[in-house]
This record gives sequence, C-alpha cells and structure tokens, in this order.
Amino acid sequence: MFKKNHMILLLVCLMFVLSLSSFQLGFAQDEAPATASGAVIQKVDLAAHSAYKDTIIIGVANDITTLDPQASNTDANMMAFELTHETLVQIDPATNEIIPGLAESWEISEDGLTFTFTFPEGVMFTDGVTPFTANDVKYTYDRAKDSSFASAKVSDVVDITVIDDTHISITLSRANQEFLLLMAHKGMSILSEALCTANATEGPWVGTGLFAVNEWLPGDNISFVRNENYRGTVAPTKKIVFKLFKEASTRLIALQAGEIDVCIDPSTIDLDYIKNDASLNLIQTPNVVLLYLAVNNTKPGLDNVHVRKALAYASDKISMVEVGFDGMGTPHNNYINSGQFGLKKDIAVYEYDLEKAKAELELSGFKPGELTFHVMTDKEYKKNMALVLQADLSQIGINLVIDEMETAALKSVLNDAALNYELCIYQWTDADGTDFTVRNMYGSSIKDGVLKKNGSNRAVLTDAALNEMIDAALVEQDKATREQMYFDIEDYLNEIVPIVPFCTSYINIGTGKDVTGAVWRPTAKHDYRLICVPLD
Amino acid sequence: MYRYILKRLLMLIPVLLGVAFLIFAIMDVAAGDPVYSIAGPDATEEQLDALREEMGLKGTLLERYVRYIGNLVRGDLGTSYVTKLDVMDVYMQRLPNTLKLAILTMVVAVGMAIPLGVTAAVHQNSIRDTVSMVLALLGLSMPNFWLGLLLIMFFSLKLGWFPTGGNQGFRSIVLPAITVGAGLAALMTRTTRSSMLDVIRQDYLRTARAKGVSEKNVIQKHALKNALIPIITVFGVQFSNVLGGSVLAETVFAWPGVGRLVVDAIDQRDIPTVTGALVLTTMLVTLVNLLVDIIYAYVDPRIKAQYTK
Amino acid sequence: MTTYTQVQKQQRATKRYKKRSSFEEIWRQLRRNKGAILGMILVAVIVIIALISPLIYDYQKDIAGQNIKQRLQKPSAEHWFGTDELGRDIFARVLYGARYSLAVGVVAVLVALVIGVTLGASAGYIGGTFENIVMRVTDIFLAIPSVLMAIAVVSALGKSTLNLMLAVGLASTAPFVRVVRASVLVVKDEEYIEAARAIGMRPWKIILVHILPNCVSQIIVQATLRVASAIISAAQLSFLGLGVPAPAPEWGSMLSSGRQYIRDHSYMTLFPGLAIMVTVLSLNLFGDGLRDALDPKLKR
Repeated sequence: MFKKNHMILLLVCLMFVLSLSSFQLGFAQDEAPATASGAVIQKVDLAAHSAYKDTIIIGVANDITTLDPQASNTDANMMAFELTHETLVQIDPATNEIIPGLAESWEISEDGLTFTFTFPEGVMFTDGVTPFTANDVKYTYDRAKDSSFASAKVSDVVDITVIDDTHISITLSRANQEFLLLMAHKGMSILSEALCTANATEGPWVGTGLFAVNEWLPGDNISFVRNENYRGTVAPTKKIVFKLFKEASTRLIALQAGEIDVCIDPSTIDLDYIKNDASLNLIQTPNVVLLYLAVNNTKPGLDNVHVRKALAYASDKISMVEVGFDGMGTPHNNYINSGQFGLKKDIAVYEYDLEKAKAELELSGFKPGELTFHVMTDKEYKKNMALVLQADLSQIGINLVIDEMETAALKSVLNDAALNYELCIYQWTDADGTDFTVRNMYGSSIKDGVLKKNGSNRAVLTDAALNEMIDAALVEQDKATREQMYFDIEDYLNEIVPIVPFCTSYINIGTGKDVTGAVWRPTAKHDYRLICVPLD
Repeated sequence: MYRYILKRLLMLIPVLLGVAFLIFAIMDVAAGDPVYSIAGPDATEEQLDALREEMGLKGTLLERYVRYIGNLVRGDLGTSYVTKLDVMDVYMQRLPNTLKLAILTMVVAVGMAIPLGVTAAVHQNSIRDTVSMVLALLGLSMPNFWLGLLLIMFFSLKLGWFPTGGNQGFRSIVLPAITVGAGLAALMTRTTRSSMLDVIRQDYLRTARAKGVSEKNVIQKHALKNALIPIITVFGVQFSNVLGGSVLAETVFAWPGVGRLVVDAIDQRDIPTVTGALVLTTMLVTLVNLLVDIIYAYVDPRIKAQYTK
Repeated sequence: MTTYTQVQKQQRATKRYKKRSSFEEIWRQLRRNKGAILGMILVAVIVIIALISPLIYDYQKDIAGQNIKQRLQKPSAEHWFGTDELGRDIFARVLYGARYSLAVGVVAVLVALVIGVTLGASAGYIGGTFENIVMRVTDIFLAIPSVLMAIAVVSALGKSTLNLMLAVGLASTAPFVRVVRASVLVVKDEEYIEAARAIGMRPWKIILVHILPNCVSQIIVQATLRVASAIISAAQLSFLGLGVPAPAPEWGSMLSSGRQYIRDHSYMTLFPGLAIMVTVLSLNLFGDGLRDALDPKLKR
C-alpha cells in the first residue's frame, strides 16, 4: 500500500496541521471608570435615545440552573433573578447605600426590631394579570423559611404582619444591623402567592421585574422579554439572551465575530485581543470574590494550628495569581472580602516563606514526609493554584494530592454532613454584609446542645468565643465600635488560621463598542436591566 | 420480515431495562449524595430529608429502579433534579439538534469517503490510493476535539467563513459536522476501498467490461451500488459512536445536543436526566440499527431470504 | 487409550507446523507492507521513549517542577516545545507523557481483553441461557455510546488513573466479547473439540488450549487497533477533565489545560495533540499491517 516516497505525504499533512494552528492577528480600547464601590456603572440617558437594538446576547460561562430565586445561590442564577424579580430594597451600586426596590419607603422602629415597608399601588407581576400585594411579601418570606438557601436570611424574623395591600411590618428577634442588606439579596426576590400555588415549578419564575422569562433551553440559552407594563421606565432592550459558551476562547471568538454583544470572563491571557480591537470594549474592575484554601480543622494534622500556619507560610500567593489569573489579581490576607465594612488593612501577613513554614511544621511535632493531604479543586485556575501549593508543600515535606472534581460533586462533598474532606480551594462571593460573611464562614450554632458549624463554615470551626464576638458585633449600633469589633475578629482569626486566604482577581468583560447601560459589579453578579445598544 | 422486525422491537425492551439499571447502578456508586449539592450549604436535616423524598432518593437501589421503570412504562421520565423541568421535554428540545448534526456528519462522511474510497480502489497501489489512505488514517488518528479547535482557529477566526459555535442556522453545523465526520469518513473510506476491490473483481463486472461498457459506467452503475452495502453497515454500527463522539464537538462548538445534555447532567449528578437521556438515546440507536438492517435486507436479496425463512 | 495419545500427538504436530509456518508467513507479509513497518518502528520508538524517559528526567524536578518566571515561553533552543502555564518544559512532558498514554491504552485494552475473552469464550462454549444473558448485556453496553459510558463510569468511580483505565476498558469490552464468541462458535463443533470433551478435559482447558488459539490472530489485531482508540478515548475524557490527576503529564490533560491558551500559545495544544496523533497513527498502521498479514484474504 505504501511506496517509499509517499511517506513524505504524511509529513506534508503534519505540516498542514502545524500551519493551521500558527498565525497571528493584527489591532484600541477604552474603559468606563470604576466607582468607589468598585462597580463599573455604564450610565445611559434613556431620554436621549429613541431607538435601541432589539436583542442583546450575552455570552456566559455558567448555565442557569433554576429560575426559582429560593432554590439556588449561584451567581449565574442571581443575574437572571435581577432581571425578572425585585427585592424590597436594593443596594446602590455606586455607594453601597440601601435604596428603594419594590418598597418605595420604609421605617425602622427605635429599638431596631420592627421594619415597616410601604409599596406603591397598582404593581403587577410580569404576566400582566396578577396584582402584587403586601401579602405576597409575607408569602415569599414564609416560603423562604423552608428553603435551604433562603432560610438563613430570615432566621431573625419572628413576625410578619400585613397591614394592608401596600403596607407590611416585619419584626426581628434582635436588632440585626444588616437586615436590609439581607433583604436586598436576590434570593429574597418577591414571588406571587397566586402564581406559585397554581404552578409549583414555573410560578416562582414570575416576579415584578423589568423582564419576564421568554424561553429556557437549559444548557444552551435563556431569553428574557421586556415587561412592557413595568410601573417605572421600561427597559430599553426588548430581549436579552444569556447564551452559554463553556469554552472561554470560543466565547471571545464569538464576540470578535459579532455573534454576541457581551463576553463574560474571557480568558485573562486573551485580554489583548479585546484591547486591540477597535470595535470592542474591555471592562475591568477588581473582583471582591475571596478565593481561599478551605481547611477542615477537625481532620488529623489540620487540627494542629502549627500545621495550618505552615500551610499559610507555604502559600505563594503571587505565583498563584500568576498561574491562576495570568497575574491579573491581588494576594489577599484578610478573612473577609475586600471592600467590606470592617476589613483590617494592616492585618499581620503570613508572607510566603518556606523556612518559616518548615519551622512551623517542626513546632507541630509532625515530621517532614509524615503528612499527606488531599485538596479538592473544581476549575482549571484552581487546579493550577493547587499545583503551585503542591510544589511548595513538597519542599517542606507535606505531600499534597490534588483531587479535581466537577463543581456539583465538590459541593456535595463539602456540604455532606460527613465532612469527608481535608482541603479545598473555594470561594466566598457574598460580599455585602460583614456579619453575613463572618457568621457563615466561621460561625457555629447550638443544635441539640452541641455547637454545629454553620453551612458555609468550610473550616468546620466551632468556637464559642468567636461566636460571641460575632453576635456582639451584629447588634452594635455605633459604627466605629462595630468596625473595631470586626478588626478584633479578624485578628483572632489570623491567630488560629482556620483558612488560608489566597487572593482576589479581576472582573473582565468584553463588550461591543456601543454596549452600555449595564452595571458591572465586583461581586461578578452583574445588573443587565438597562443594558442596551442605542441606535441613534 | 415483519415478524423479524417485531422480534427486534421486542428485544429492545430488555436492552432498555438493562441500560436503565446500568445507569442507575453507576450513578448510585457516584461520590456524594446529590441532595447536598442541590440543597446548598445551609440545609437542615429535615430539609434534606424532605428533598430526598421529593427526589425519589428514598429506598434501596432496586426499589428506586422498580419505581423508575413503573413511571417509565407510563412514559414519565421524571423531572431534572436541578432545573425541575420534565426530562422528556428537555430531551426533545435537544434531539433535533443532535439529529441535524448526525445527519450532516453522515453526509460529510459519505461525501468524503465514497470519492476517496472509490478513487483508491480504482487506482489501486497508485499515488492516489496512497494519498486517500493516508488521509483516511490521519482522520482516524486525530483526536476530534483537537481537530475542532484547529478548525475554529482557521475557518472561524482567520477566514471568518463559519461561526465558532452555537446553533444559528446551517452555517453553524458545518464545522462540528466536519469534526465528527472526519473519523467516520476515515472508516468509511477504508470500507469503501476494500468493498470496491471485492466487487471490481467479480465476474459480472468482467462480463460488463467484456461487453464494452465503459470503465466509468462499470464503476458508477455496477460496482458502487454493490459496494454500498458494507457502507450502510458502517453507518449503522457507527451511529452510536457519532452520537457519542459528538459530545466533544458539542463542547468545543457549544452545540446544544443530547451528548452535552448527558455530560452536563453527569457533572451535576442529575440522575433522572442522565438515565432518561441515555435510555432514549439507546432506543434511538437501536431503532436506527434496525432500520439499517431493514434497508440492508432490501438492498441485498440474499439477506432478505434469510429473514423470511 | 491409543487413540488418546494419537489424537494429542497429531494435534501437537499440526500446531507446531502451523505455528512456524504462519509466523514466517506473517513476517514475510508484514515486511512487504511499508506502512506497517513504519508503524512498527514508530511504536517501538514510542515504547522505548516511555521506558527510558524516567532515566533521562527526574519526575519531581523536570516534569512536575515549576518555574513560574519561565511560564508560557514559545518554542526555543532551550525549550524545544516551549513551556506551559507553570513554566514546565513541554518537550520533557510530552516525552514523559508517553508512559501515561501507552499505559492507559494498554491496560484499558488488557481489561477489555480479559473480561471480553472470558465472557465471549464461555458464552460461546457453554451456550444456552448463559450465552443469552452475556450477549444481551453486551448489547446493552454496545447500545450506549462508549464515550458517554466511560464518562459515567469515571465520574462514578472518581478521578484517578486506574479508574480511567477501567472506564475506557469497560467501554471497549463488548467488541471483544462478540469477536471471541463468534470464533468459538465456528470451532466449537469440530471433531477434535468433541474428542477432547470425550476424554474428559475440563471446559476451561478446552477453551484455553483448543479454542482460543484459533482466534488469537483476530484478538491481536483487535487489541492493537483498540489500544489506538483507547488512547483517543482517554484523551477525550482528559479533555473533559476526567483524566489522569495533575501534575501527571498525560497528553489529553496537557491538551485540556492548553486550550485556554490556544490563541497565543497554540504550541501548548499542538505538541501533545501531535503526540497523540503520531502514536495512534503508528498503532493503526501497525495494526492494519498485522491484520493484512494475518488474514491474507484481505490483503491485495
């Protein structure tokens, strides 16, 4: 079959393959300034334009998994809820102040325990026929108590009284200083009692927002159509589509080819393609998502504070940022999210130092080579960070095994009551309330007479002294004292090193040149309600 | 013939029951109780328990299996753990995309394989034969997701001829179809070549040639028709691989097909979706194979005679 | 009793005669096929690379060791294939990776072979209900697309090299069952088998001594070609993130981690991709040649 000189053909074919994959492209850029809160707000003067592009397609990396606001806490879903639903109050993206949402005003009693909200009249759900009343708020919050995702946010609520169709009063068990922040969380989006009881699956999809769900093809795309009956100004864009592209490179190519208007999270290595393309716009702002090494403090070896300090000293955060985000990030040494109230800027830092790490390991009583830990990772960048840690730990004599898992599998191991994990590279994304962060990440509560860790406490920390500090800070009404209390909590955590904070990265968004109107938040939960492309 | 078809359809039942059981068993071994990832970190024991009840996770593997089959018989594949949508509906949304891709893949494969295979056979041991066979071997040896990436780089990005992915009309199927089709085309080229070589030597072609029928006519009218039979078989055998192989292409090209539905569902531990989608896919593969066998019987009277016996 | 020894002697003689002549014939056929020879040489080279790479490279330092300052370097005199996202030399990793890809391919096929041959041979030999059950189960496995099957198995068992081998192996078992059963059915009723049965030989011995040698050539060809497809299957699983755990330099996972750098650093995906292609190509060339040599009916 083969003659001698025909072998050259094989080589020619190989050369063809080689040439296919090696070529370059040739290329300008501008940026909207970030606000004090870190959000990039693209203001659009809706009165100045008369026509907008009908459909905006947003290329996303993560699929929508549910349209029921109380059935999830992932970023991807939150962005859908913001389009379709409304919360009682919302957070001003520029100032982080609480501003009206579905409630036009509210009053707080002297003791800080009772909140009375007033709603506008004649609000309709997006189906156009179901009216909204204060009773729907009571229904929503009662329903939240049964939701494993939303129940923690209403745990302080002891009474909800519907005064009339447009007034409701909510009473708390303690003067929770962050109650309004919790109510602004998308998981507390207001649902319709009538629609939810009529259709348990699709009823919760309907809110009072600027958009309504049009068509949902899980794993492919979801489209939202404008709510023409919205009580305020209707959205400029008729239809918004979230289109799923799992591959970052493909997503960016789709943007460059004009197939989509927005590309979320392009690969950091590819950002120059956006910068150098005159038809595209790169939006960048520091991300507040806290990436950390979750350490199960109850596991043998890891229950030793010196071992945990050794892990902290052996964490080369700069290299991790380099390999995880191509240098686009900042090492993080605090135990709460950057930008949060109470962040201690001058916290003592465990600088990367293998000698100190070795010294700590010696103090722990464990010998080099004696300890082997498993670290769980789910995304490529986390795996790369784990590889950096693996190489450093091997130098001080700790063996690290990387278990790459799918996100769902990793979550089920983390959430499983058996707590069968040692280390995990994980993130904390809810960056609004400091109490919410410290309570969830490090707090515990008494159940059946024993301290049980709170759900997101990945360190499995059950520390009564810490709980008291957290509880005291929550109800402290003097701002400066409260801030100092959080500084103290952070110092306390820094001594016991329950986790090792790693870094924060950047929000990177590529858009078409004319795309405007969106709010790009440092929490990666972007607000697309007013996104548009003006045509005049 | 009808009895044969009926018999084959009846044989489908135990296969489907087996597929469902196999998937059930595999997913049962999978690490982690699915309720934990679905309920989130703050779920209480009571909430988890209620969720297990709602998701039908209570009971032994066998009990759950029997319950599942009971529902399956009524055409109820259950609802997804994650999206709470009806599995049948979701599958039916994806199926047309997969079929479109499969059909175009076959068209691409046949379109490449027959000319190459026939050329190779007719000009046996010539340079054309070698070129065809080297191309076929390369097609067979290239990981198809890699080929997909290379195609995107060249045809989407550099030349801008085709979209990079998604489901926007005919142009977006071309690259995925080539990606999946390359390996299949390679197999078919080899089959075409060898079956053509078989046929070319047959006596009746010698007779045709002797009667003065031109060589081109001999090949087109007589040889190719007979050589098609093994190609149809390859089609049948490879159909399941086309569905499977398209998983990678679906990932690279963001093509919303059945394969990716299964892979995503496996990632999310969405057992009803995995089981339902695989049961339906198996049914589809088996039915296509049956269809191929029937066509086969019509094309080749010798086989038909066997069935009617 | 005389018949017994006679039968045995005769068989041995036939076998010896057959063996020698067929081996020479196969070699003669193989030598004439340039593609097969090229394939064979390449396979040999790859196997040698796999065997000696630990002698050339220190795993901790050269393969897993990182150099973040040198990350993402284009191919140069110092780094022939460039460096990856952690500054590791891709040339060294590609060479070392041969160990993983070959091991996964070979072990997976061995798994398939052992299960497939055992089940296929016993199904064909025993027949009846047992055969029916085995063949229906085989149908089930064949009906599920093998990639999806392997993905399900790996995600169920957890990600590890061994599980990858098992998954790929399980997913490629069914064809072996079919091939072996078919060849057993052909010889099952031959006189010498009946004779062996008559003298009270145990069934497994009959299968091992008298039946399997008949389909050895088919099994070898199948196995060679299956190693090629197992390597591709393993790469596919790695590409989906279900492969050999990091930091092992398995080609599929190298491709997978290189794909986010594909636009500016395409060499990261190019070289592991080429390595897979060359390996699979050589195995296919060799396997094809072997098939033609073993089955002269197919050779033209």
